[in-house]
Formats: sequence, C-alpha cells, structure tokens
Amino acid sequence: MSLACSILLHDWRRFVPALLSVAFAGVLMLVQLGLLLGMFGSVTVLVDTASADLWITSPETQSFEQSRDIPARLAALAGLHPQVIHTETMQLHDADWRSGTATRVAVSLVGLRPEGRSIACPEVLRAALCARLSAPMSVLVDRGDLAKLGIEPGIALGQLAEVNGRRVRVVGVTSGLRSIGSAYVFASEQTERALAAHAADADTDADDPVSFVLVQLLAGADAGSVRDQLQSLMRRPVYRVWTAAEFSMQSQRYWLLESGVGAGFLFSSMLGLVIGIVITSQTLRGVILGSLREYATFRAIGVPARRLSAVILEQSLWIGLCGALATLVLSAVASLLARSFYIPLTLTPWAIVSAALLSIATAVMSGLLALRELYRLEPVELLR
Amino acid sequence: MKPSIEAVGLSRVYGRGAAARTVLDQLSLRLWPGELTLLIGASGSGKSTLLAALGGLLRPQSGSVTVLHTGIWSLSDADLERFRFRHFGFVFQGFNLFPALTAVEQVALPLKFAGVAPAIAIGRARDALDEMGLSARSKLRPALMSGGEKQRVAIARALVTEPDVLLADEPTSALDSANSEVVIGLLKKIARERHATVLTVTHDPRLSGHADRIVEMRDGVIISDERPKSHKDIA
Repeated sequence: MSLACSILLHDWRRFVPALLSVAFAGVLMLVQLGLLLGMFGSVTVLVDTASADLWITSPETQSFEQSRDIPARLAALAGLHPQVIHTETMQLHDADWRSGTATRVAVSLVGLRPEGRSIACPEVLRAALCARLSAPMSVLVDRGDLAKLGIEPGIALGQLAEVNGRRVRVVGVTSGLRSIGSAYVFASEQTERALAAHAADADTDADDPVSFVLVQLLAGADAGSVRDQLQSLMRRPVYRVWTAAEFSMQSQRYWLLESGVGAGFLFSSMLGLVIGIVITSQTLRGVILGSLREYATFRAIGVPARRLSAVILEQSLWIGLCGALATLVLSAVASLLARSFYIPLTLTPWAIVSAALLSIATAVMSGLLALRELYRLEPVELLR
Repeated sequence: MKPSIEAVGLSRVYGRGAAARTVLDQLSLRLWPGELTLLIGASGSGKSTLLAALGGLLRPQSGSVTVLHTGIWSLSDADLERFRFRHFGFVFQGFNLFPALTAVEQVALPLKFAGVAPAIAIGRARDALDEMGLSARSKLRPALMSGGEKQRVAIARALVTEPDVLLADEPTSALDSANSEVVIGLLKKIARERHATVLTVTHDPRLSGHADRIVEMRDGVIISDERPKSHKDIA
C-alpha cells in the first residue's frame, strides 16, 4: 500500500472534514444546477411535452410564458404546406383562481383541444385526462400546485373553484406539469375562451386570437427547412416560426440570462467551491504539518520535495474520489426528497459527471495549495 | 587512509551587527571511515550547525566540505540532494516515524521513494531491522514500540540506503540508560562492520565509553580532540 493510503486509512478521522467539504461543495453545485435545470425545464414543460414540430408565435415572444395573441388563421396558412399534416392552436392567458378555502391566486390558463390525439396536449395527459376537458367548464390542475390553489389533495376530483369569477370543476390532477410561475390550469379551448378576459391585442388583426399555432410535420420531414419556408410566408406582418427545440432552448436561455437566476447560481456555486477548497486545503495542511518532521527527515536524506508532493496529491485525489462518491449519494437523496415534494430537480448525466469532476478538482486544488508547507520545509530545522 | 569527510575553514555567523553570533569559526575537521566520533559541547557551541554543514543541510558562509572526494557545497541543489541520498544517513533526536506505518514500512520507505521495487525494498528493510535486533517488531506501528525500539527503527531507516556517512543528532537524549547503551552500541557496530563514518552529536556523557574519538566544541571552535582508547593516529 502506498504511504498516502496508509496515512489516509490510519488517520482517517483527520481527513473527514476535507471529505465532507468536498462532498458538500459538489452537492451544493449539483443540487443548484439540478434546481436550475428543473426550473428551466418547467418553463418549457408544455413545449417539451407537446408533440408539435413547429411553433408559431408573435414576433416579440422571447420565452414561452410571454406569448402574445396571434390570429388563428395562421394555422390554416401553415396547413397549406405539403409537409404539414396537422395544425392546432393553443391558448395561454393569465387568470384569477379562487377556491372555497383560498384567496385569489394568479394562474396561467391553458386552452387545448380536448382530444386524446391532440398534439398540444402534454404527453402525460393524452391517454385519458385530455379528453375529460371536453365537458364544459372542466379543468385539470397539477398535483404540485394543489396547496397553492387551495384544493384538498384527497378530494381534488370534482371540487369546484372559480376562474375569473366563473365556476369550474376539477376533473383531474396531473403530475410533473408544475409551472415556474403561476400554476397551470388546463381547460379546453372553448372553456378557456369563455373564461379568459381577452384584452384586445394590438398585433391581432383577427377576431379569433390564439396564443400559439402548433404544427405537426410528416414523419421524416426536415423541421428546419419547413420552418424557413413557413417563415417566408409569414413575413407581413411578421410572425415567428420556431422548431420545438429552438423555442424550448430560447425560452430557457431567456430565463438564464434575463432573470438573474443564472448569475445567482454561478455566484453561489463559486462560493461553495471556494469554501470547499479553503476547508479542504486547511485540513490537508493540518495533516502535512502533523507529519512535518517525518517529511523533513526524508528531505534530509535527499528525497526530492516533488516525491513527497506526490504523496499529498495522491491523498487529495483519494479524498476527491470519495468526496465525489459522497456527492452522488447525497445528491440521490436530495433528488428523492425533491421528488416527494414535487420540486423540479433535474439531474442530467452531464451535470452529475461535472459535479463529480468538480469534487475531484476541488480536492486536488486544495492539495496543491497545501503543498506550500512541503516546499517551505528546511530539513536543517530538525537539528534545532 | 584518506579521510571520508574533510572540512576546511568553515564559518557561519547568525545575525548581523552587534547581534551577530559566530557559531562556526574557521573550523577544520577530518573524519575517517570505520570510526564512531562523538561531537560534544555545551548548547550553542555550534555542534549541530557543524553537523548540518557536514551533512549538506546548511550552507556555511565560507569554507569547504569534501565528502568522499566531492566538494558538496559546490554541487547544485538537485545534485546535493542526490548526493545526500546516495551517501548520507540521518538519525534525529525525535524518531520522526510516520504513526501510520509499521516498522518494516518505515524502513522500506526511503527505498520506495528512490523507485526500488516494493518487494526488494521490503526485503532490504527486513535485513536492516534484523541488524537492529528488531525482526520480531517489524509489524508494529510506533505507538506500540518503546523509545529505544523507535530509535532503532529510525537507525534502520537511515541504514537501509547503505550510506557511507551516518550523522546522528542527540540519538539517545530521549532514551533511558539501557536503551542508550543499545543504540550507541549499534552505531559503533555500524562504523565497524559497514566501515561507515559515524558522527554523533550528543550531550550524553554515558556514551563516551563507546567512542573511538571525542571532539569537543566551544564557541564555534574545536577545543579538544581525543581518542579514549587510542589505536589510530590522526593523520
């Protein structure tokens, strides 16, 4: 066994603080990144779970929730393209929610075609729930929003509430469709129209305004080129045609750059990292100082400082590896906890890998900082 | 016979101006292989500084040290490190053993740092421990050993690289009489059997009976140089 491992195993108690700080720096980053990804994913959850290949929006839309009304006839226009097999419209408007127990809550009212094969209908709803919306004044809400909306979880089905002062009935509870801002309330387009108080939109030249037009293409069609062709049709007035991936990406980018959460995430991750490095390097420094006379003895007999440094770096690498492992375990626990509280925490493989690498890097950087003690060492001091 | 170590005109001054203190004052000394030399003197007489200058650990401000025909203070730092590794062994007052390692691992460590294959390093470490009479203790960690045993492990660690020169700084000051006897006996045996040059700095009057030669220092100069059981002339 190497000297580094022998010391680690023998004095493991002295290394625990370093390991914990490495692990927590990793967890802090991973959970924050997960929350960020989860949050951004919830911005675009309706884009990502719909089956549309293309989305048509008003030209100034930068993010999904900022939609402004466009004329419904764009759906018919898009339908003229030979590679378009199906178009649908979708509504998204702010509304007031009021249940028996809670005060007024702002919600986002989503109007869909109430059919199982609707492409606007989120995938999880398609099997059964979407069709239930065909009953007038029926709505679906998400499990994660029940408390916010003042609905008793056990007896959600059939509960009555008011949207914009008109009575609605909860006919189902979705899961995984929690919104980043105000809660989504799903209804049929007809119900939505009846509930929504439309403000006349300056851009709308029709009396049949919708929020989005969704376009489904022939299997195998190139979404990019159809998008370009449709875009050139919709030049005057200009509407924006996106592929679903573009629209999702742009919405998330908007939140990352414009909302300040990206900078906040970066700042707190850096903070966690710096704290991790400081604690780890202090711990390693303490361990070196504890064995300083032993190391000095080896310096005296002519062992180069870099060979001794390799011992410290090997130790920090082991601490990093164990810390990365602890990061993964703790993050898995955090992920389970988040799931049980319906908090969107998304842990993608690359996020996990980068958090693990970051843990290792934290430990190795700490080791490098602690090496100063070895290079400062003068073996002659053993003679005093 | 030629001396293995020859120091000429060594000077070292600590501090400056009125606070300056001369710890080595134009000191010259020759040491021969096969001999155990004790370097004695009061605290501050300069004996540890002399040991450091002879051992390549502290550069004198003037003078030269020739060890085995090499002027060690004209070597580069890296060459001096290599030279120390090849020719010097050190034993210190504190035993400076890693608490995590067993005796045989402690002794094998210098060889491992030099890139010797682990199996060979362990074999040579066992031989060195045998020589120190510690075969039975080779699996123990320092916490389970007596002071005398720890110092013998430290000596074995110094010996395992087969140095030509063994420099010891107060090796018995932390030991009782019986253990001191054992340790100084071993140092003498190393001088005899390995034909090594052994220089031991000490305060301990109990050791003088074992020495081939006793050099006494005061204020940075040698004030006496005796051979208690004289059997060799100073060349």
